[in-house]
Amino acid sequence: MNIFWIAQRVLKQILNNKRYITFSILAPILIIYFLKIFLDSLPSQINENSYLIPFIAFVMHFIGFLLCAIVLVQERTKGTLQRMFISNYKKYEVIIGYMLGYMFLGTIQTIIVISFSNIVFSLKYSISSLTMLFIIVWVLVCTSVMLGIFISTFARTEAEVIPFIPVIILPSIFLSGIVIPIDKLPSWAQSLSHIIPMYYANNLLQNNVINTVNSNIFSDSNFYSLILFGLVLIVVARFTLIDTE
Amino acid sequence: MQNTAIEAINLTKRYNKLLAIDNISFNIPKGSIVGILGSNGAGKTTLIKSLIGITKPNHGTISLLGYDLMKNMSYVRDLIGYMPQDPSLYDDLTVEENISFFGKAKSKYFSRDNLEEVLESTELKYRRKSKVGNLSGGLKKRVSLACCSVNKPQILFLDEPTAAIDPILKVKTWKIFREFVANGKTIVISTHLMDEAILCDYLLILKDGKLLMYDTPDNIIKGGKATIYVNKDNVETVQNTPESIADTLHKFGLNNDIHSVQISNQNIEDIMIELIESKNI
Repeated sequence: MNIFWIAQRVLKQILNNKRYITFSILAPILIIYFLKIFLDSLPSQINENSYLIPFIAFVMHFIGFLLCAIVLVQERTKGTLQRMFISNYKKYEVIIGYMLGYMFLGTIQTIIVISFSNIVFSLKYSISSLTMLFIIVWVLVCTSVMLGIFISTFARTEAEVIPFIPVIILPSIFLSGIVIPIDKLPSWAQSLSHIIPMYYANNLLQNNVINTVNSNIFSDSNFYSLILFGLVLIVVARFTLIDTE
Repeated sequence: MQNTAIEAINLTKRYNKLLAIDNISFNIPKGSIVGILGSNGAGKTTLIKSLIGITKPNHGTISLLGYDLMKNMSYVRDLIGYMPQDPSLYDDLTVEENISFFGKAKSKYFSRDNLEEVLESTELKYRRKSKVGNLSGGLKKRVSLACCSVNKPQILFLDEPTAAIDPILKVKTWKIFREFVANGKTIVISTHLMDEAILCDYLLILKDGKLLMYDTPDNIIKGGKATIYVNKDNVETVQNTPESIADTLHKFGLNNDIHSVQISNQNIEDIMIELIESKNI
């Protein structure tokens, strides 16, 4: 039940903070809009969708991670995280409660951003492809939230989250296969790509939405790898979230 | 029936080279208000955080209501409340939402009646729908107090609860504290305000992590010095121990040429300052 109270509280905070919710929805839309202008300026033989769709996922991944990490670090600096523990909320309740609360925001973000992209880019995908796109981005956003919780344990202030962006998030563009095909990467970088969630998300998008090699994401091992990645992060975050000094 | 609320034995906490708490032991009886006094950095907050299990001591044991804290953390935390130095509240949520959120963590000790009762006792009923971010510092302190007392804990730990609040509110807050302990519950307060210290049942005085004194305010004041100023032929004699005062009076025999005799008792603030500044420990 405590998980529910935490999720409810996170949700109330998100909904009460209009600036926060506006930023988290407008920012991806704005980035995608400029991405469209950029892709339109490229030679016409380039398949826009093979870049566009993974970039939508990447932007959602980036924002999900950043917002969750910063808000959780804020909880630590304000003392509310410590107060939760003293009030007898458990670590796993905090992690899962947070995840559920942000999943709601992730769902709203995903629906709005995908609908917007569908209109602006005239994606012309079938309902089933759009549903798969939605599921993949949604699972990725959940994983991003978990990554945010995990990384927040290493930052003492909100500003300390920033250095993790170039180290953890930005390399995802190059290591996930969005920009450079994985087989063109040196072998050490290829091994690294297996430990970033964007790699599995990009594979899923390329196989199931863009090229439709598969017709069902549930038969794609990348889907389960992405979920496993999120579950491992829950367990790791459970051990790294510190409740004592 | 167990009459001890808190028992600390040989408590030591070290942060790298800094000895924050240095081998201290004490017992706090149920139904009392205990003030932890000391200058900044004396170890007050570290001691409170150790007593609620947020800081793990390097050595020693703590029992709350007869339960070993480290072995029964979850159970014991259901029985205690903690009000941190900073309000530590959610500014985007209302007064009521903040109190309910922290209260619901201990669901078996939380009810709608408890919420109404705590809103009443902290006089927050008229601000229940206000967002905490819009409240003054004093009101935030009251919300913070309501958050930690809504579950009717057996022991309340309050870290500088009335710092930076106005005198009227301070009087009201102390009224709440007295009502709370009247039912056999216990309050531990960290403070550096002497007017607040005098209201406690016991004072635990810390210096550099060491326990300087643990006694009632009355006994501490009794142990203070009285100073006698005798002015004879415009020469002032000053004595400040009971024996020397007596000697002085005998010597002078209270003759007519003694123009004035003035006796000044040390107050708790003087005693505290003298203790902290001069005692070699």
